[in-house]
Amino acid sequence: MIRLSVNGRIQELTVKPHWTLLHVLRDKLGLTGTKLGCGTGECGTCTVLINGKAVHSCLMLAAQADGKEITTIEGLTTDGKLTALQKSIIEHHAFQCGFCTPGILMTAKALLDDNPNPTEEEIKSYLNGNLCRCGTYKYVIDAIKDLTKRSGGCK
Amino acid sequence: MAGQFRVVGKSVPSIDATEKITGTAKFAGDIQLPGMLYAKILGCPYPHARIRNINTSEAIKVSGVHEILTYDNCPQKRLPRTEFRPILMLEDHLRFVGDKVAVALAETEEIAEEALRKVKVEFEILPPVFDAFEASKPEAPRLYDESANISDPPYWQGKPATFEWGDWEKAFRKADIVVEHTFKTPSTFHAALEPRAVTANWDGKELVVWASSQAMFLDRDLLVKTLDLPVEKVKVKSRYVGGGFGGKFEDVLPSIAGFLSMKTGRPVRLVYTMEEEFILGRRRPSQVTRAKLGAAKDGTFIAIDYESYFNVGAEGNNVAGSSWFDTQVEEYRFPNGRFVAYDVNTNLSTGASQRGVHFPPWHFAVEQLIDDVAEKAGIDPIRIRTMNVYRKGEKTIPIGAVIASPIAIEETVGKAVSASGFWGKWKGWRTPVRVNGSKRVGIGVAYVKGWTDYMAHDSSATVKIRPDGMCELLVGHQDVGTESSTTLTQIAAEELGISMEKIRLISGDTSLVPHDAGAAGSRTLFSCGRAVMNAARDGKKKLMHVVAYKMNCSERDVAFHLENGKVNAKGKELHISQIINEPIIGTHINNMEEFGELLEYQGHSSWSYVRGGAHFHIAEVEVDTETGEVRVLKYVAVHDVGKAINPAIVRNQIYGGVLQGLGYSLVEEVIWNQGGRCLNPNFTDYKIFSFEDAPEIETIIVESANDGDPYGAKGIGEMSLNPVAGAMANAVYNAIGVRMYEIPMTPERIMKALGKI
Repeated sequence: MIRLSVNGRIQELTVKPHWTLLHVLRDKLGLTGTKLGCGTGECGTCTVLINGKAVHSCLMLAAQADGKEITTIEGLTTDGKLTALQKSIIEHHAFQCGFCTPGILMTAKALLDDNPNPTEEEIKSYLNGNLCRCGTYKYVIDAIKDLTKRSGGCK
Repeated sequence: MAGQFRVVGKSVPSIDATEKITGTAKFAGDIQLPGMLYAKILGCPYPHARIRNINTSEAIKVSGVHEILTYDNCPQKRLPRTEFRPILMLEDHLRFVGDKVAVALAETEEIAEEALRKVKVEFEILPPVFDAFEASKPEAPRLYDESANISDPPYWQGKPATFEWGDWEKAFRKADIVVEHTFKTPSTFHAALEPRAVTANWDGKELVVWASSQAMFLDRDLLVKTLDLPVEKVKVKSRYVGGGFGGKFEDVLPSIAGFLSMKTGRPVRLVYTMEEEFILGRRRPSQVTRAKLGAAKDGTFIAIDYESYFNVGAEGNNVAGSSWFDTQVEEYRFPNGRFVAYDVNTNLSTGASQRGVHFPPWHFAVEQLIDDVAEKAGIDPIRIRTMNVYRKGEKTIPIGAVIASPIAIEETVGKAVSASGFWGKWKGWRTPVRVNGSKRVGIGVAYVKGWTDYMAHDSSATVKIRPDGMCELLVGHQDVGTESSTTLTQIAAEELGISMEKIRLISGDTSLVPHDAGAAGSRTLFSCGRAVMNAARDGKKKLMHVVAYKMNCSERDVAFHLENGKVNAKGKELHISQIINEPIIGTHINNMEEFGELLEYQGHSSWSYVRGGAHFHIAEVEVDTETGEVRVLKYVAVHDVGKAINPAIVRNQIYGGVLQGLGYSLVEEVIWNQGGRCLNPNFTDYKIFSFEDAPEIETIIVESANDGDPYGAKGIGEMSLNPVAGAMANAVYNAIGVRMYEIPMTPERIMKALGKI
């Protein structure tokens, strides 16, 4: 039995030792916004926040997340209100198919929480583990830069 | 012109934005149904084998297992496909490492995997063949009993697709300049981040299949055929797709999942792992191409001879030979020529269309030959292209189609030249832009004549104007990430004179929307856009008619203000609900006649691709002659899209296409070992460009005059990738003075070309 706080809600579950956190989030809790891409920590589509840090949930065992605070893409908005980051992503058309987008948003949130005023190089370096085959990198960078410029450093 | 539009031409936000950025967009693998079972596939360990005996008695006993499917207990209907051989769902003849031996269906994926380990198979190992040239020989091991390995049956009857025009042999004899080389281009993965996924549910009356697909109607038609169901009992849903790039077409997976659901009466999910996606999915065929170009001494092209072997793997067919021969040879004016294409089956995974299909290899070869001719003729790389391109109104050779679009080459080239600072950098042939120690900077160009009219007749749309003033748009397009849901809604909003918020788009469900050929050939915006535009006009016309009748006036006296739901006639203003109590339905089915005539050439019927503007790329690279590394300093991509319905979406398509093209030029290559086993089916060993890899890419949109509905807009998805390898190879040549005949241009290949290793 593990106890997780997922998007502010306490979840108690019995898990098998080899289950990944991603499996539990998607298939046991129905939080399918977090995507299963490569399943081997190479593409970043499964990124969630664990105690505020961006983590590949496909590489973390569910049991390792016991007692941790987890935020998924479903928990990014509060009361259905989009965050400034999400709004900026929309304005800059920073997605195409949208499959990698939840992961990119979670990593970008971790970046901005960590470093509210990142340089372009810092943005690229922080997000380098999130692949986008449609190739929207420039627009994601623009969205983040524009956001930090407007707010003079943002959360 | 631009001022007259309200919605079209504006970078309005995506209509799917909220779903995509909040995680609520449901992809095929996100569908969860009560009582769902999970399927897994057992892959063949050999490149070529036949199943002598398969014993599933132990596997079926595993607790939680529901079915074990093999070739002898699955339906025996061949899948009627166009780009592939007509195979069965599962066969006893296995044609590549990983080919489908059996499928287990169980309560969980783990149980299914455990069951597969207990399937006992006795294989008869057959001799494999991996090289396309070897496989094309009559004595090569055969992959299909009924024909040799040169595919394209039934069209080419096992012979290469061959076209000849003019007196090409004489033309080459007369040519002042002749250049010829052999070019090798790699197989590459589509590498969509969403591995293919299917969820199927048979409820006793109807089969519903959620598929990650580029063509849901094709999937539906395959299901009808393989499962012997009437078409009204099959529904395919595919609203959100995590990237396709040509890979998610005509697959056997929906049939397998659908059959298992019908057999068990339970919902079935079949999702590939990324490794399975890479091995069992699709790949761009590798090509070996011998190309020869002849020209007069001033650089005017006289003849082309193009012969290419396409390695289309186990199930590929009709990828190269008869498809789009004309669009290739009509990229420039070639008065005489020969085009020979071998689609060859080999014991590698299945080769299929990938963004640009055979154009990226074509441009890699031909754009380099063109530079070679220019160098020998003593003219620059811009001049050689502008003097040999087709212009509007010209008849193409050999098909004889009349170019319908303006070829705004001067404007397109002009913008590329000024954005890249070309003339300040170009120092002449074999003269680098600059040299800094071991680092040499070069600049190169490539041109593409676009196309957009592929399968243009197979789109239709319905628009409903409702009494409450809202509108519904029903269209069969497949939005795989190109944001066609947004651009098509923009077109409908423009035509109906209402805001986008008042339009509800209904798509991604074969039971609700009219037929469409799917996301392919950069066709959607043009062909569906045309259908949407005309359906909206039809709806307005019908409404006009009803209003005139009800208000007892002439149609000329009626004015719409649909944004407010108001209609004016003869000084009276009424709400639309006072006029109609049922929706007015406007429809349009594209028909053949709208798109010119079907042309025939040497028994090859062709819709000539006469719509598509000029596209021009300029690459500036730095080559380190000590390490062999190629770095892109600046990349300029200028595209004439006729009309950008949504400029931000167009720029996204250009940027993403260039990025994939750079990967194709520099790093991407599927590698197999000598036994036909794929060695890099993952993102660590198969590199795609990441945030840090992406160089500076400048995207520039040109909008030439209107040359047909919708507003002159044309597809861009593939045009952005097609010229990249050509421009990159020409830039590398300018930097180091040595031609690269093989991509990707890895450090090793550069060092070899320099004679250093």
